[in-house]
Amino acid sequence: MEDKEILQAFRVSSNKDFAFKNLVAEYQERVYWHVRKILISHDDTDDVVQEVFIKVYKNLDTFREASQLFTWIYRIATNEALNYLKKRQRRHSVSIDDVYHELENTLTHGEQIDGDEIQMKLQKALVKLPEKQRLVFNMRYFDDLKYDEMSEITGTSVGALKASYHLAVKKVEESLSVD
Amino acid sequence: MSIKQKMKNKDYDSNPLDNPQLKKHPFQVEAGYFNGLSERIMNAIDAEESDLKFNLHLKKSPFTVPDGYFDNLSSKIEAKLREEQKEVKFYQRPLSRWLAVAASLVLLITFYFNQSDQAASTDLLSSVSDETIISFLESENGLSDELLLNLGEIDSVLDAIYADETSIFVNIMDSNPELEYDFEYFDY
Repeated sequence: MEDKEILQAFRVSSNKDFAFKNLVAEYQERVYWHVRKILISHDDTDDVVQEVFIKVYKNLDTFREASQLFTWIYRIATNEALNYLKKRQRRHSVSIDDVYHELENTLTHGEQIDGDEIQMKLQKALVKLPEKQRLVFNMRYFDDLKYDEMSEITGTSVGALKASYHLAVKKVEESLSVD
Repeated sequence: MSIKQKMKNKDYDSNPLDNPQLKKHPFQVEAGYFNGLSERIMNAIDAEESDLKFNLHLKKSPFTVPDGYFDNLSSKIEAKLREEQKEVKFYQRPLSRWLAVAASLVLLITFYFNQSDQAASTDLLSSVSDETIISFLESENGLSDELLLNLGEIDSVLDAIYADETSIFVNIMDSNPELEYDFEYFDY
């Protein structure tokens, strides 16, 4: 089902659930992997992904078709994932560095992770990046998103995103080349 | 030249490539070149491994999901959504609504008669931290989803970290659009 058809069907109350089912089927994997790369843990990601789609359901009526549906969903997913990290930081009254340290710990000891040495080295380099650089790197390198799509998602200019990606790549390559 | 040699060369005249001299190439390498070659190759492999552009293996995610996770995710979301829809909000309960109106009236009357105590009330409220108020509102669903989506919280938090990292690049790129080309080099 195309995005346009999903949106049209969602506006008719008798088709709402059917349209939503299709929307979830279409976007669940992309949303999951986007959030997973931010939160690292599968269980945390599972919670957040469910929240993301519940928010999508509640707010789809307000979606203005000025942007693409997937960038709008990505934006909600990004907000939810980053808010989840912040809430955790607030709840445990720890610094943001502690949260990143926890992410690194999950990478080393967490479940549902099966990468070889170089892939793990890359992930460890990524959790050390500032949040936005990590986000930009993930969207560009792993998800192959275009800069204008990333600009819609993050509300940041294309120039700033390019600069951010450039910095992230430099730092990551440096980390990878160190033994 | 001996007759024997002359005869040999004559043979090569008919098939010049049979001349063993031709098999010897004229190229030379510096002394010890081959001793360090394997190490240099290994270094080159390492360098390529850490090169994000060439090592496509790095693009593969090391994360996995439990078997059948995506088959069940959709029904989990729908179940959670149904559960949320069943919950009748506080203000939608008829009795609660009336109680709320009554409580508001009591508050208004109290406020009216205690205006002189206003300073004390303000002090009381100021002793509650912002964090507590935010947590309370979040737990009570006091902030609507629409509002949360539009908060732009993500931008303010991220941009603060980001500004330090990127301001120089952004300024340069804004004033020198031709530099775009250099950045495209990093476009993978």
